[in-house]
Amino acid sequence: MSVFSQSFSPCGRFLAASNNYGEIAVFSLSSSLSPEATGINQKPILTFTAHEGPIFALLSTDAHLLSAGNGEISAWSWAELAKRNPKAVWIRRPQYKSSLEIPEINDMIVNCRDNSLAVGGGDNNIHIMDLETGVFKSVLQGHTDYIHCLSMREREGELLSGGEDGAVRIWDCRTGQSVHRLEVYKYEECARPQYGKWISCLTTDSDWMLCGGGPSLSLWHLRSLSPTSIFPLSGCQRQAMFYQDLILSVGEGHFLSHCLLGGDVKSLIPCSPPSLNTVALNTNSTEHRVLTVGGSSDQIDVFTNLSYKAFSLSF
Amino acid sequence: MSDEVIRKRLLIDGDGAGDDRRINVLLKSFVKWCHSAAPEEGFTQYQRMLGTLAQCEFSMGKTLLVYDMNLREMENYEKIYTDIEQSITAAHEKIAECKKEILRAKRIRKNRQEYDALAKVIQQHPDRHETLKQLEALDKELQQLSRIKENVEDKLELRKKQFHVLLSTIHELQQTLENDEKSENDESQDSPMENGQMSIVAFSLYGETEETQPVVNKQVELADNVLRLTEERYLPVPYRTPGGGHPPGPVEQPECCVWASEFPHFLLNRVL
Repeated sequence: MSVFSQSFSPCGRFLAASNNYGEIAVFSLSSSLSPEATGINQKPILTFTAHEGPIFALLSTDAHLLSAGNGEISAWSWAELAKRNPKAVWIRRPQYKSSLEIPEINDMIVNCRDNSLAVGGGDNNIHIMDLETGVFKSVLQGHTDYIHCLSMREREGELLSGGEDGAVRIWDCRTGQSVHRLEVYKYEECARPQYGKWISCLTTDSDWMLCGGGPSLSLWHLRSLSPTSIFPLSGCQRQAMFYQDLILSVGEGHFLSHCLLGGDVKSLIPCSPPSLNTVALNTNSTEHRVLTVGGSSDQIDVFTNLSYKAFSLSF
Repeated sequence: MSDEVIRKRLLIDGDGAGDDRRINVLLKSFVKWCHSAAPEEGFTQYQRMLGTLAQCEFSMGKTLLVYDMNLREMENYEKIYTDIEQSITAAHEKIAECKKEILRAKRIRKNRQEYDALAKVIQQHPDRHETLKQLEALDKELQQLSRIKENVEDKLELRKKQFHVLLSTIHELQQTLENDEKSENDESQDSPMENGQMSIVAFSLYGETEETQPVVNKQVELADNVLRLTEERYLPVPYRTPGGGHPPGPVEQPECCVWASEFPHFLLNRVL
């Protein structure tokens, strides 16, 4: 079993994780973090099959959990999930050009400015859906191969997408045009031809961008579109995030890497899955501030202190 | 109520050894002493009773002191308790303060690292002053070269014009010769009037056809010489660098010009 993505509830008390069988498991953080927790508390309070295929993306909005699998997006109410009642609020599917093959959805992101959802996947396009009405407003075309990851640049209202074709494209959300195109593998210091040119992880905090995958994980300054630091991590990184003054990244290899912005790897924290797919930080709650990582195993490691693993939840 | 009393008594002294027994023994001995007749035994018994009473009093005094001590100990503990509570709250506040401090420090560190990363990239680009200086030097060079180019072009134009004048004069001369030939062959016809000073002069000068031919030949020879000499002298020299060679100074008054304008006079001089 592989855990592909995770999402915390808006109240911060629950964690939803999805795997390659199309199942979503909901864990209660308050019971597993309490001092009297036993083995039972590390099991999910609810497991249900949400889609037929693997679920690669989970996202939480104010009241719903959105899951993307088998080419469609389903929404589940968090309040209902907490009461162990899995019933989909709505299921929508973007318009794909070919009806024969259903392309998978690899990543979803919410644009808070105009309350829309951007999904990117196997058909090389990004579909924008309005969350209130459920109508697919527009399609951003430009990538020549499937899209791996999406990220949102809040301040400028731009969407970043990274794909298998090695290009990171920056789209303006209002006009729907591609503003920039960065081909990371063309930069000598980042490129790792032995792994390929695909970009599988992308994250940004408006001024800076982290991207990695085939090429090494690198920090880019977005205003000048130049790479500033390259991180010497072996293996391909699958997800990275900015946290305070650190960069946390997971990928091939059974550790969570802490890196400094200057390009040094500060520490590698070992985890239980042999290869990690997803890392998530609970920012919605102050008393359950945990970091969870999941990967190619049914164990989801929970970190209460960033430096070591506290315990594992079992899918 | 009697249960209470029994419970209390058991609590205080349940095992029968100690003060309770002593008091009971005292009471019994008091009663026995009251009932005893003999005075000596009574006296010893009386002494014994006093002793027992003293012991009881002593025991009571001890208990009172212990009670006082316990009370004071309790107060002491209360004080320590409040002290510790205060220090706990102070420590909590300090922790919160330090957490804020650490967040601030992390932000500062992040900013510093971002700055360093950008500085690294900027360092790779050349210095702005140097580039400006290089640009200025290149500009100057460019201006100089364009000036030189202009000069050379002007010179070229001038030479072209001079050659043009020369060649047109020669051409006119040829025309005149032809006309003369024609007028020779056909005496009835007037030789066609040429435009140009040269032709008029020529016509006025060379009335007799027999005499004109050698003169005209001489003219052609002279023109050839002029052409050759001007070619030798004024053919564009391959331009050398400003450092050496013929500097492109102010345009010198070429003699060809003079020759061309004075050509007819020159001929006149030679002919007449």
